[in-house]
Amino acid sequence: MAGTEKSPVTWVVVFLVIAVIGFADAVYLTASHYIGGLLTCAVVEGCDEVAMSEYATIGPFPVALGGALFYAVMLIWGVVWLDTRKSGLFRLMPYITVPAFLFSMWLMYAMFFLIQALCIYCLISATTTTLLMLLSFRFRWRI
Amino acid sequence: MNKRYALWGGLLATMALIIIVMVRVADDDTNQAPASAAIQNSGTAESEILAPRDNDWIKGNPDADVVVVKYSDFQCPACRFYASMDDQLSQEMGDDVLFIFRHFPLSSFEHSNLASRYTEAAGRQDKFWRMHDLIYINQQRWSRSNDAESIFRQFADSIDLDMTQLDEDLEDPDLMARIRSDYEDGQRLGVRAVPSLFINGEMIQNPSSMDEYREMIESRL
Repeated sequence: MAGTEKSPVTWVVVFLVIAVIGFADAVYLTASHYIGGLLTCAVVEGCDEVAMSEYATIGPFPVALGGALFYAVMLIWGVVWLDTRKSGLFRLMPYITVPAFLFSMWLMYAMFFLIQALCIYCLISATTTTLLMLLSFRFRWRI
Repeated sequence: MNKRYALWGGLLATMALIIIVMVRVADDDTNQAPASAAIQNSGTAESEILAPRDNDWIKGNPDADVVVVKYSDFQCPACRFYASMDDQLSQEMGDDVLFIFRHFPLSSFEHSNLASRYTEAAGRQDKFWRMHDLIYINQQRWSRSNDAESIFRQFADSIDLDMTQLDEDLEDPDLMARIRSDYEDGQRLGVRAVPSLFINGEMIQNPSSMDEYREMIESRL
């Protein structure tokens, strides 16, 4: 029933929408870090506790800055495919999405078991990273 | 070609828009007025939090007519400015005013929490204010350092702290709990940026000059 399957363009657009959500989330966290304010905790309490923790930074840089760069690369990648339609373009993508996913899982572990607080922005980022990784495998095999 | 422009233009515009909107949202969060109505109503909980406590770090007369409670962070540059104004006003106004320092270490600063711990540990050897002053005066030196702790240790040594005791206190869960408790109290009061000042139980817009600060206090005498 290949005829009913969504076109690759639709999947790449879905991929871009997820990357936009992740990018907005990471930019907000990065901006809050540098502006020096507190996060507005929505839905679940505890985002400040997580953002205050030692796991929120690597040296002088906030982890969220790395996240923003990751999502920016994903956005550019998706647009390059829409522009060129080169089928091999997504082959290398899992080499970025899998480490990002594993790092995200480490942050989830730190949040749940070491800090023991919930941060809605971190949950959003973990979800978007996971979805991007799954889609990157789909593209690797199907586009 | 038009499609190509639309794609890349769309991407750049989307990313730029997201950055502008998110920076503004984050900035608004910082400047957002606290739940001022709740504080001005002086609910019991707020009054209790703002009332001077036995273990508060104070400067001035405990029975003064004007009490300034400040939630502050050691690494924030504005906090350094206000620390110096507090010091000057305390000397000028003497017994008329009481300044209370409370910790509000922001996660966005790398060494804030450590600085708070060093001042608390120094406080256990009756040298909170000396460490407080050293940390603020030398803020630019340690805040850019990768090894702020060794600078804090030099400060500790320079004010003759018992270093063995200091090391023990720095790891004391009670000491960390106290900092955490100040921070949580600040959150309950609606503190969203540092420094946040409360004069006689009322959160005020931070004064932009020494004269304005002095006037705010004098008007309550």
